[in-house]
Amino acid sequence: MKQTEPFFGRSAALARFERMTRAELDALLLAKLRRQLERAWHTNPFYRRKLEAARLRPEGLRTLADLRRIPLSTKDEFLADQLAAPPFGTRLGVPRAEVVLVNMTGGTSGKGQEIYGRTQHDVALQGFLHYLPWYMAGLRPGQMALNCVPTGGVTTGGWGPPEGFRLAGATAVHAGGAIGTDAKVDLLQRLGELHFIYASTNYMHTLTEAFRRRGIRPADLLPMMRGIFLVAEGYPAEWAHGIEDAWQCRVHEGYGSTQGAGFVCATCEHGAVRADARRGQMHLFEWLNYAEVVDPDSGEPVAPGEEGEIVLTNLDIQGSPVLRFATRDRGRWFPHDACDCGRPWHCIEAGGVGRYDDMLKIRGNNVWPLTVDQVVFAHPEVAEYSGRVFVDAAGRTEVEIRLALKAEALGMPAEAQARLLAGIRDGIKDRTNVLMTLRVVPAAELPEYVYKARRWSDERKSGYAAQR
Amino acid sequence: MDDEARILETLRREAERLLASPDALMRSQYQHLYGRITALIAARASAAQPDAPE
Repeated sequence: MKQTEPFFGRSAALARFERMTRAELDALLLAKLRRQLERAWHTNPFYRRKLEAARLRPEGLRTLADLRRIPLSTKDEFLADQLAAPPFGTRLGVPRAEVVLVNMTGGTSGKGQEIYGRTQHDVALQGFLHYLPWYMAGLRPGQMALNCVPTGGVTTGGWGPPEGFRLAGATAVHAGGAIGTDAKVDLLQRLGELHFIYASTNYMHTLTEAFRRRGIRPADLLPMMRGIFLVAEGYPAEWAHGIEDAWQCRVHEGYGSTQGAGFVCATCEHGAVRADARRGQMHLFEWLNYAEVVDPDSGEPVAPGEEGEIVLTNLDIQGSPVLRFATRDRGRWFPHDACDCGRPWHCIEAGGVGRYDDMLKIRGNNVWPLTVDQVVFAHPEVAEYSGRVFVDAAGRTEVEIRLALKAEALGMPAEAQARLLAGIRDGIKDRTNVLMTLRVVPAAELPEYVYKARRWSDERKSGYAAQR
Repeated sequence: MDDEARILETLRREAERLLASPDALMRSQYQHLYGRITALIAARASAAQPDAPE
């Protein structure tokens, strides 16, 4: 299998951050945090209020630990602020006329979409925050790159990648959402050349399976492949090894968000999984986004190897910046020396970032059980339901909803029941963009809940069939 | 050549020098910068041209 080209020290721009001692990097982070607080103090009423309430002036930030004096910012606060002062809220921090791009968060939370105003500087940085992890994954100018993530729209994930590929000088093919999977296989046969793939975990599986169905080994058709870069969903290490075997190149991963304006961390040349099935480390680009991983209950930083909530502070973003944003993303934190690559950047373990809330990432869509609850229970005939996300024999992510009907609805004519199920299925598809399979079962098959319902099970982590 | 055009031309020449950077991380970004400047020069030149006779 081809290894990712080592790049430590190869770029003067990056070598500065690679060769720092941890103490030097901490000093840089403290200086940049002070600068960002200074900026917020003078230009950002939302954060000025928070800083004043915390009795913290920018010059009062003497150690990195002092930052924890600022209370966490939450999505709910951002939404309330934007509702009170539409559209950007009091957090924009730059003159309105300097906003050249509006990004919004995904919006399937049912809570609402946050709005982010990006300046020219931010758009360039957003591009760099996609380019940097891909550079680390081995992408170089002139290489053919397949983007399987839909482009454009209102999200950072739609805008960042095209800018990132352009900055990389790569030959980008933005096929995500534009053509189907079989058409992508046809296109790759036609191109005859591919070095890099950017895709969600689930889609990478789908694409690899499509090759398998056609009887084509990806590595035979595209022997020049240099790297696969995964985003959005966790995976078992065995599955990643299978993908590496099929494509004969390293699997890499990045974690990012709208609040981070792109990728917050990514794997180095060692990739997302080691040969001995240990998970790789995603190195945090701390000098661009300061990241804490804290115990969600105590707010204290977690110990090495422990899971906690990822908390982000932008150090360079100007428009709609975030300070200590509680992402509700869960990651396992490791100090920089957990990876032997030698970089002083702290890490989050690859393959395991999840959500604290119960959001399910299904075929690239954010699905909240609450959304499904709302659709299902809008039909009074339904007593209870249970949802199961799994990988079927063909390797596709499927969702099965088992419904129990109320006793009085059990005798309804077959035609009426079919209409009911179709209504629920279509309603769920409308709200979540995911087509789910519905099945009526006896009520006794479903568990009863005495407190909080746990209606969903996600069997994907153990369910990906190992690649051969 | 007016001031703006002179500045753009200076930037183009300087950006061209950056294209020879040995730094792989930055080189493609310098190509991007160079492309932006040449595009600005072209946009400005076409905007400055009087309407072509029909």
